[in-house]
Formats: sequence, structure tokens, C-alpha cells
Amino acid sequence: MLFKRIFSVIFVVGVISLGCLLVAAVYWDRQVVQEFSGKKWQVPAKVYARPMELYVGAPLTLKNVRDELNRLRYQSDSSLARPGRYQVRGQQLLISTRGFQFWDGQEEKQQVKVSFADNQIDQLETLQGTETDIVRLEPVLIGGIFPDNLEDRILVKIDDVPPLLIQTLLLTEDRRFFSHSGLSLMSVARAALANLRAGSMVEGGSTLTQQLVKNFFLTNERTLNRKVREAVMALLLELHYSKNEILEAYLNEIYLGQANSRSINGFGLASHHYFGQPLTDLDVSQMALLVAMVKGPSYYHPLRNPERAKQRRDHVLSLLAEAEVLSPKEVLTEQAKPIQVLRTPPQAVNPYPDFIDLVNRQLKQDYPEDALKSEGLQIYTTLDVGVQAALEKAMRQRLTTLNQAQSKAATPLQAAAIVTEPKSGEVLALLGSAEPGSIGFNRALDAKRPIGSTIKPLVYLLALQQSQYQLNSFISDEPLSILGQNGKNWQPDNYDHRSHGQVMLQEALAHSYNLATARLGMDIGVEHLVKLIRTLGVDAPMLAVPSLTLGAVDMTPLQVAALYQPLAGDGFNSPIRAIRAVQQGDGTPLTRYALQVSQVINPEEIYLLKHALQQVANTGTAQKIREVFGNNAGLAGKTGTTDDARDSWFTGFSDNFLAVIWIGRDNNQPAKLTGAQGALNVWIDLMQQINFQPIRNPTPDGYQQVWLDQYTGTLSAEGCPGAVWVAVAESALPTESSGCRLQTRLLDDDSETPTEIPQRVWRSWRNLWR
Amino acid sequence: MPSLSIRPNALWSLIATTLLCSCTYLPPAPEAHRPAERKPPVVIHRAKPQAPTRIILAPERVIQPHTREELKYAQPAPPSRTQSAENRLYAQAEQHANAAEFDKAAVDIERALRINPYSSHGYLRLAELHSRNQDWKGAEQLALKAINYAHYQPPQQSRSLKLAAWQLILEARQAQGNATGAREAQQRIDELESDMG
Repeated sequence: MLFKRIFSVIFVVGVISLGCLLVAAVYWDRQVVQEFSGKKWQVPAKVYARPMELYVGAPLTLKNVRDELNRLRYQSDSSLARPGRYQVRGQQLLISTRGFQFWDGQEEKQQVKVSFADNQIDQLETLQGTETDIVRLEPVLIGGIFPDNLEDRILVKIDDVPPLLIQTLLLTEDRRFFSHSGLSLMSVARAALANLRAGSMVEGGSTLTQQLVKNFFLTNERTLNRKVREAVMALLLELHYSKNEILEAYLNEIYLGQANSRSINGFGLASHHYFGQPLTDLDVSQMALLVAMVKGPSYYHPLRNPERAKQRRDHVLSLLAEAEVLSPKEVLTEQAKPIQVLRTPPQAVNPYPDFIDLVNRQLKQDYPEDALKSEGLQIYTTLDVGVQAALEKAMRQRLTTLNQAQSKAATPLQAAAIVTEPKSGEVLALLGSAEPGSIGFNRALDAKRPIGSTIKPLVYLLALQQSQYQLNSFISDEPLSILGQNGKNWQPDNYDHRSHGQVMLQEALAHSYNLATARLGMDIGVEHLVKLIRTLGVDAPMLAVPSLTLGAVDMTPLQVAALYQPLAGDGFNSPIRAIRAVQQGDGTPLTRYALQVSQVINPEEIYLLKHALQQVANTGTAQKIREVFGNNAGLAGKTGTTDDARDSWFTGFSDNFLAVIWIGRDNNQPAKLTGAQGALNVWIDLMQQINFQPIRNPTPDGYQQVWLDQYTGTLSAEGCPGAVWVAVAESALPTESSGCRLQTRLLDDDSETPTEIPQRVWRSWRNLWR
Repeated sequence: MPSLSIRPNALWSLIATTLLCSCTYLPPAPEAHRPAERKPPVVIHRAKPQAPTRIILAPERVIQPHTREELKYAQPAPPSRTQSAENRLYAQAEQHANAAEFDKAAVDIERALRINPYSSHGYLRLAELHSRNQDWKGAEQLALKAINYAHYQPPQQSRSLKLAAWQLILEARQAQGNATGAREAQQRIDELESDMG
């Protein structure tokens, strides 16, 4: 009776449990199908820098290319048998490239020899001795846009995974994968036996399907309930999907390590993370190491626990010998290899957060944020990692010096900078703070500061657009007072608190005279200045008030770069852009951000302005440029200083770089630096590190460049007192000579004070000898 | 006023010819317009600061400016060493364009322009691609940029490039309904054609 009752209870409980299990199974089945169908993962967008192009005549040194190869985790190796290796032979670099699927097509892997001479590539040929015209290295990965779970992966297709890797994985983790139905009692028994023999846990009994279920659907908790669920879901998964689909999902899902807050998932990413190579380029020992890590990525981490990792890898290799996949000799050779992984893996977090911020903002105009975090987009940007490194170095070093010279009580100086390519508007480098790499307020994009004299070239450009003004015109630098709408008088002053009388227009810009500029701006009309700024694409809020002529307008460094873009770009505006193209994870092109140009300044005006801005660098407020680079450097720019030296600006350009530098303080306290004392030094330090090309400014028809006396405007000669080199329309060329040579002869004759030389000229001449 | 249109094949031929010619063209020796590079050099003896009579000047140079031709070609020509890389990319662009892969062709040309941003024919090719996509505004502006840099070419090719660019601008302006602009373009074409005889 009792037995019958117990049996009844068990029967009822069993039926109820089975019923519950069936109900649960129906629910789990729906979950399996729903989550496993379609898109399985949120794949972060990958962001790449611009690729380096190798061709004869490219302005690259051996060091430039070697640095790039190191950034790409190429290894210096005497053998070039595998992609991703290079050798240095004197002034030659031998490279075995990896190839890359670019937006516009496949760049094949190849072995090339690059010879260098005179700071450029002198010869380029394949190792087979045939000439090749151009080789594009793969772009450096500079970061990603991650999903909220911070999982990172590079999706791989099963057909693209080396069969040996799959074989190694199955031998190690699940030998009966292709014959079981999700569960394998044989595997459990075999693992138990192996563990018993080894005296420790060397194998697990879970099938790959169970491991996938655990990783994909479940948590790590060790409960009976979870084990049951795992088993049922494994069976269901096998019921709905093919072995290849399950294996491919496993290869992409499995957790293989951690890089700060980012998790490394799947063999595709792990291969790049640990070896800097795609899966297809791995050798046997590298594949074995990845498979070894499946059991415990942290426990068998090759850097933190190299001995343990090697032991486990060698065990995996021995399984290959047991299964006669490799000969014992081959396995011994592979086991003899040390564990070699990248000491500094490709950046887990974005090393250039300020630039990525700009990329993000530009992308968000075209893509929803979710897509950026989950669709595995490939984003090709314009960043030049070499220029960025140079900018960071220049800024860091110079700020250290400048901070040391400041009062200890003062808050440290802050800074921002942007470097663009003048002909295309591409952003080459960006810095949003004094601490490169730090995440926070991006001053390059968001710090709106008064720009001071940085605005002046626009005032002079407007003047040159009017027929009555030439670079050799004279304008007044006398004090002025203007009654504002608020009833107050605006009375600007020069930096040296002196008036300079009548000054040549070019000299007024070169020396940044406020009084002359304000007068000129008022004569032209401030509203025209506002209109010009708008034409150049800058929408910063501003008032058409007299002080605008001296830069009383707040702008970000990015906006200042936009302002100068057409000046450096030969009169053509190219919107500033940080992205070249976006493609889907599978390589399908999505969007291309094409070169755009728009002529906003005519060639004659831009010629005159570029000439004048070069004089700023030769003899004006930025003459430190001439001191450093010589008189013929082909560099141009303008300093900017605001009231009480709160902001120190320098914006300057060569033929191939436009750089805006700002230094100041977040609390708006005086930086106690003029543009020349602060920002200009950073700009010079930057230009010294990068391969700048001198400005080209050919003289158009109807113009000449001549020596003129800056005080009288008459023809002069090089070396004459007060002589300045001016670009002038032929119609405005003076006919009178300053008589410099004549007076010299007079002096030769009697060695007396030259009474016929105007006193002003004589004074400046005499000053030459003091 | 006759309406001019550009046959793509003709334009490619012109560009190919230009490329070939520019490969063989040896630019005039770079002669900078800046004083420090001109001769004769200015000599300043500064042995005795109190003796200004020792300044020896050569003011003749001031009233002897460069000849017009010198001024026009005073800038160094684009580095010819990069020509083979440029040619390869332009050839690739042509292949892509012939296969109606205009976006890829544009990528090739933009790569070439990064190597030599003064390539007038590069901008002209890009302008032509924009015109094929009916992007008349973009085509017009790129053609203007081609004209802006045409003076870096030898005179004859410079004129040919300008002529092709103005013809494209004419087409673009007509397509945009810009009658005044089209008249200006036609005038430039007439001037260039008469100049070329």
C-alpha cells in the first residue's frame, strides 16, 4: 500500500515535472529560434586611419614607413615567408604585406622592396624584381564604436576559417561534434577518463553546442537548473540548425579574453588581438594557442601566465599528433616555438578619443547610433596617425615648458588643435585637450573662444576685393573712437599702445596693427565681414559690431580651421571632413564622402593674401618661423591674442598642412601668452616634425613682386632700409625710386650724414647697426 | 549660340594625351619668385657697424622683374617622380569608368590627387565623372579648380585643359539654367580657341 502510494506520488511529480519541462522546452525553443535567427550579435563599428600609400616620389622616410608597419603590428623578421613581416636592409625596407579589402577593392598581399633616398621613396619593386607603381598598406585600426555590452568581435565565415583551426578545435573540445545531437555521453566519459589520468581538469565534457548555448543564451551560474536548460537548448539548437551554422556561431561567439572593459569574442578578433594577424595568416602553434585559451582565457593568458599557456598549447599540439594530423616531428617543431603574442595589442580603447568624437558626430548625421554600435560597420577616416603623434608630442612638450614658466598657483594651461589637408579639407590630426588620449571636454570641437587677430586676414581679404586697396596701399593706424549702439565709445588700441601713423596695408597685417585693421574694417563695412564668414561656412553667432574686425567673436578651433581652409586651399572651400567611406562588415560599400570643392575667393585675391600671410611669417608677428625655418620656408599664418592674453592662437599653413593651435585656460583666466609666445611655438614644433611642403603661390598675369620702401611706398631694393617684399598689381606699381642706391653712393663719396635721405628712412637704416 | 557637349571618349583621349605629354615635359628649372633665390645676391658687409658706406646694393634688380613667362612658370612643377603612381591610378579610374563604376573611378582619382593635388587633369576627370552623374554643380566647381591649376602645365597643354574645362563648365551652367554663367564660359572658349588658332 505504502509502496503504491510512494509510486503514485513519484508518478504525479514526474508527470508534473515532465509537463513543466515540456512547457519550458516550448518556451526555450522559441527563445532559441528567435535569438539565433538573423542577426546574432551587436558588432561594433571599426574605425580606421588613412592607409599609407607607397610609391616612387612619396615624401616618406624609412622611419616613417617602419613606424607605420609597427603600428600595424608587423614583425621584424629575417624571413618574409608570411604576411605581416618586414626587414630593414640599409636604406631599404622589404615588406611582406597583408593585403586588405578596401572600400574600392581588394589590395592583394605581396612582397615588396622599398628603397629610400632624399627623404622620399626612391624605388619600389616586388621581391620578384618587377616594378610596381603603388602599394597601399592596410589602414591602422584606431578604435571602435562599441555596443553597450562592450563585446567586440570580428565576424568570420566558416569557409574563411583555416580547416586546421577547426580540426584543432574539434580535437580539443568536441571530437564527436559532427555525430552527436547536442549532447554526448561519450564526451563526458572520455573527459572524465582524461582528467583522471592527468590528475587535473584538462578536458571538459560539454559539447561545442552546449558551450555555445552557455555563452550565447545563459549565464555562468553552476546550478542544476542551468545545466538542464543548457542540455535542452543544445538539443533544440541541433534540431533547428545545421552543424556548420552552429560551428560558425561558436567560432564567433566564444569568449577569448578581455582588453580593459572590452571583451574579446570569437577567433577572428582574438587572432588580431593576440597576433596582429588575420586568422588565415596564423601558423599551427598560434592556432593551437587560441584553441588552448578556450578553456580559460584568463587562466591561460599568454602574457600573464606564459608557462601555463605554453603547457596547454603543447597539450593541444600533442592531440594533433595523436590524431595523426601532424607528424610527431612537426609537433615537436611547433612545441619548440616560444609563446609570442603582441605585447601591445591593437588599441582596445580608442587612443584618439577626440578624433573619434568628431567621426562620431559626422557619422550621426547619416547613421542612427544603434547601427554604429551593432552593424559591424567599417569606417575609413582621414586621420594621419603620424601627424597625430607629432601633434601630441609637440603639444605635450611645449605645454610642459609653458606651464613651468607660469605661476605655480595658476591652473594648468589647456589646449586644442586641429590639422587638416588644405586641398581636400581632410582632418589629419585633432587634439581636444592638453592631455592627449584623455576622454572629456573636446575643446577642438566645443570650446568657443574669442579668436582675436586670427580674424584679420579676412578683413584684409575684403579690402583686397575692392579696387582701391592693394597690398602697397597706405592706411591710417591713428587712434579711433566709435560710438556703439550701447552708447559707449569703442576705442581699440595697438598691442604696443602706440600709433604707427600711415602704414602700408601689407605691413599692418604682418604686424597685426589693431588701429589700422579696425579702420580698414569700418571702411569696408562690418556686415561684409559677417557675410564672408558665413560664405566660408562658419555659423558661429556673431554681431556685426566694430569690434568684430579685431576678432570679438567666439569660435572653436574647428571653426577657425574652416575659416582658413579656403585661404590655404587656393581659394577653394572644401568642407572639413573626417570620414572617407563607410562599408558594411561584409565589405559592401555604403557611403562615400567625396571630395567637394567650391571656389569662394578668386585667384588674384588669394594670391595677394597668401603673399601677405607669408610676410607675417617672415617679418611680422610670427617671424619666429623665419628664425627657425629660414627666410624661404614657404609658410604662412596669423597669430591671435585676446584681451589680457587669455587666448593664444596660431593658425598657419604650408602647401600640405593647415594647423590651428589654441592655448588658454578653461576658467578663462589669462594664459599670459600672446599668440606668438604660446600657440606659435607648438605650431613650429609640429612643423619641424612633419614633412611640410612649401606654399606654392605663382604670380598671376598682371602682378609683380617688388621691393618697396614701407614708409614711402617707392621702389626700393633688398637690404635697403625699410624695404619690404610686396606683391602688387602692375597697375599699382610705383614709378618712383626710394633712391636707396643713389644715397649709398653719396655716402661713399663724403661719408657724411645723408641729409637727403628722409629722416625716417635714415633712422631705420641706422637701427640696422645697433 | 551653339551648344557644346563633351563626348566622354574625346575627353579621356585629351586627358590621356595630356598625361603622356606631361610625362615627357621637363618643367623649367624652379625659379622662385622670392628674392633670396634670385641673382645676383645682395651683399652686405657688416664689418664696421658705423660705416654705412660699405653697403653695396644692386638695385637694378628691382626694376628688372621676371619676364611674364618666368613669372607664370616660376613655381616648381609637380614632382614628376610620382607620375607612374598617378598614371596607374588614372588608368585604373578609366577602367572603372568604362565599367560604369563611377564611384570607384572617383576613388582612384582622389587617390591620385592626394599624390599630386595640383593635377589639373585630375580635377577635370573628376568633374567629368560628376557630370556623368548629373551633379552639375560639383562638375562646375571641379572644372574651375582644374583651370586654377592649369598653369602648372606647359602652355599648350594648359590651354587645352582650360578649353576642355570651360566646355564642361558651359555644359554644367546650361544644365543649371545659368545663362549668364554659360555666356561667360562660351566667351572663354571662344578666346581660347582663337588663341590656339
